[in-house]
Amino acid sequence: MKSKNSLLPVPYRIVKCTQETSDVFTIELVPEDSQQSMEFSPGQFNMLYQFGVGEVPISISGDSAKADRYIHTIRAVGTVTRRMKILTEKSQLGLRGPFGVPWPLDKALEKDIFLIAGGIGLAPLRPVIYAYLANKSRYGRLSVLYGARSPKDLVFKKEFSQWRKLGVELSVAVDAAGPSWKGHVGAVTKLIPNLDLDPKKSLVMVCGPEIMMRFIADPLLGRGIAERDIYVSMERNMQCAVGFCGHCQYGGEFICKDGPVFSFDRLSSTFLRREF
Amino acid sequence: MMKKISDLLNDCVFFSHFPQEYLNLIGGCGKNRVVKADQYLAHEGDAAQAFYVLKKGRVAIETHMQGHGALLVETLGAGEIIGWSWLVEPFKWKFDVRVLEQAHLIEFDGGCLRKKAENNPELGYLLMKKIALVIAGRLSATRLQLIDIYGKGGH
Repeated sequence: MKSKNSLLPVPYRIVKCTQETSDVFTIELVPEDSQQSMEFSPGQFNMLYQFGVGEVPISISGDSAKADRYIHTIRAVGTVTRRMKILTEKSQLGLRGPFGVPWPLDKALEKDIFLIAGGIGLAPLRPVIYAYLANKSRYGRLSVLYGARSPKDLVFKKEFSQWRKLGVELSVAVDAAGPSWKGHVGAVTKLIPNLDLDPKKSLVMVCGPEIMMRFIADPLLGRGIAERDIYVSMERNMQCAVGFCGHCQYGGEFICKDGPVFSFDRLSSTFLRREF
Repeated sequence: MMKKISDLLNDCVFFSHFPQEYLNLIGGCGKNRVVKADQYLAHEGDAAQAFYVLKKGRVAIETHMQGHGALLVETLGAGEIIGWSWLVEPFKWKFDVRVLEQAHLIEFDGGCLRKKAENNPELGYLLMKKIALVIAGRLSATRLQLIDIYGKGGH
């Protein structure tokens, strides 16, 4: 059963904490009320409430087929998330959600899927990887391009070899690395020009810092991918998560309820507008 | 039967919009080469007489910093081209190029390519446009790399 009031946080308990990098951690949450529904679609987010501190929108990074818990991967960057980083198992959080428009997996049927992630942007895309692996026959290839600052900033590293074994084409690029690093060095954008892709049967999903997404649009369009086949996950100051408060307004859209996932053709005219 | 260089170029994204007659012309300046891991294709400051298409393998673009040794700037993989210094005066390599995984390359004689480009301005312009595209892409990627953005913000 989902909370009837979308503005009312429901108590959840942390059952597992995992340190991903020095400032990124993953928490697994189960509801105190076992009747609580935890269905979600890849790309959606929850509002997590640290009691007495504040509330933040956090993408769901777990497997949507396993509805027994919510998994969230969080970077400790602000007051709320820094406090969440020191929480331990059995700690309580308030949770509202899930909210938002998911990744368009229905439009990806029989197509090759290209995921492009920067930093912690891999978190909202990880559910797409799980969904693909659970239904491989319904899609074409899955290629993941992942960029991070350095090898020690990569999240979900432990899953990379398993994903590759299961047929995911995973390319990882870092900005800087020492001699022990065997992957690419350079920006993730550099991996696009030589991608083996057929623009007519490809769908691209991008998540990362907005500046990275701006740099990625040109090489993708240069490879013949149509704007309508590129999906990006946007981030703004989301507070109510249901389009009431207006904090996340982006032109004529509200990121929380019209997004966070948008096709690029809906945003291309406003993407470089600094006022937004 | 061994493929001719001009036929190999048909498989390369960089040469994808070149008419066959130009591929035949350019192919005359190229040869196949295999270079083992840890060998250098170029050293910073040396005359840049070659231009490479990397068919297979991986190379590192490096620079040397006093007291630190080699610094890895970026890596290049299959399908990418190596070197633009052969086209830009004073025709000297700006970085070291070290092979990380055995490289299967098409090596072009830069002097031969320049001569053909000068004699055939249309080919020269096409070549210049394609190289400019590669340089612009790398400049853009380098700026992104310098901004070091991946760690900022959060989800």
